[in-house]
Amino acid sequence: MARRTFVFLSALSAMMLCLAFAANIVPSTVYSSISSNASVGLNYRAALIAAADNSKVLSSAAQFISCKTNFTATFIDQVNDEVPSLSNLTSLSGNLLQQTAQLQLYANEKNYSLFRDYMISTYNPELKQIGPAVLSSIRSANLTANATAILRAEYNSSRQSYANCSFSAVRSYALNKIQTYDNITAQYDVQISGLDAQGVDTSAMSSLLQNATAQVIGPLSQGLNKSTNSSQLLAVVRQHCLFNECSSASNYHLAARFEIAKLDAIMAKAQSVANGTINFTNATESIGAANSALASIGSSHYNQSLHLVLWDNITYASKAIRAALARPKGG
Amino acid sequence: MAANRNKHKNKLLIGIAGIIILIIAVAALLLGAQTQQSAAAPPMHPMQTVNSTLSQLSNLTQYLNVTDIPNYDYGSVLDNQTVPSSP
Repeated sequence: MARRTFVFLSALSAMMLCLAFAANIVPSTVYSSISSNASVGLNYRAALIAAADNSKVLSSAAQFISCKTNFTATFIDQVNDEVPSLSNLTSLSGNLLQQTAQLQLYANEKNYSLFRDYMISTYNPELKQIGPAVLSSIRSANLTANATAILRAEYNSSRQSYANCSFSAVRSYALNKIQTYDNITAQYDVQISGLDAQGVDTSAMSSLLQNATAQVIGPLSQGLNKSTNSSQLLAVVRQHCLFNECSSASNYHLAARFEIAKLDAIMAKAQSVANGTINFTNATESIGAANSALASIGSSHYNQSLHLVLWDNITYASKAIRAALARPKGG
Repeated sequence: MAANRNKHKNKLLIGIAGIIILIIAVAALLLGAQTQQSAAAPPMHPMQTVNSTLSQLSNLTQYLNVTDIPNYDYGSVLDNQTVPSSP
């Protein structure tokens, strides 16, 4: 009896000791978790740049261009075989092949801007003028009905290969684009978690990410799965853009919206900490100007000058908030 | 004789247990008091309040970096030029 009492009492005291010890440990665990979250925002820009790595997207775009070049060059070869007098057309395909190699080089170098500029200013005009030039030459060569029929059959056969090639390239482009979007939104989530840990109201930012998924990433993914040819795929890709990359009115402008919502939330939290004593006049004016620019842009594609107006104001607001926080009594 | 020894042994065990409990209870009370003391901190001095506010504001500044997404700010690289049509 006495032994049992002894064992029971010993166990009871051991439990009490553990409880008292645990009470001392828990607060320090919570503190260390907050401390680690506080460092989240430090490498924000670097993390976003890494997440937005578009080398795979560029590679798919180069693949799509190769499909067009190969089809066009093959068509010109077929015309030459059938009508040797039109051998001068070979120089056209030579130019196109050379330009395609240059684009591939830019893609390998991951140089998005040079790739895009060269594609728009050099490759596209070249390809645009080849079609009418070849057809005009064929018409002026007065081909027999039989020769025309042979050319058409060869064209249709090449066209099928081109359809397969372009479908594969655009599908790969869309998949890579979705992956990049996911990488970028994951970085925004990290930023939201960090701000949450600082007690900032992140509901507006979270809401933006949810809408981005509902309005852009989700439909893009669904459209990709439903498309059976490159034309359908191209339409889907060109109608769902998370940033500013659609030439149609289908851009969500997430980066600008997210940064504006973030700066608003940080100002609100700072004012609540400092009992409304911080002078955010400059920042508020810049955010107002950025919001106005964004409202006028809507979902359109913005050009370089509008880009400057929008992002200059966002950047200036960020600097103005930093300056105001450095002298929180409004001085 | 043996029963007496047993009785004596039992009393000794209970005595030892009692002392252990007493020591542990005192230790637990001291630890608890220490925890409560750290949890319910005394009202802050005005200077401490200012420092706390500055610290919270300083923590916010690291989230002030803003950036556009590089390469997604000026358009698509997906070519839109069509290939030649059928002869």
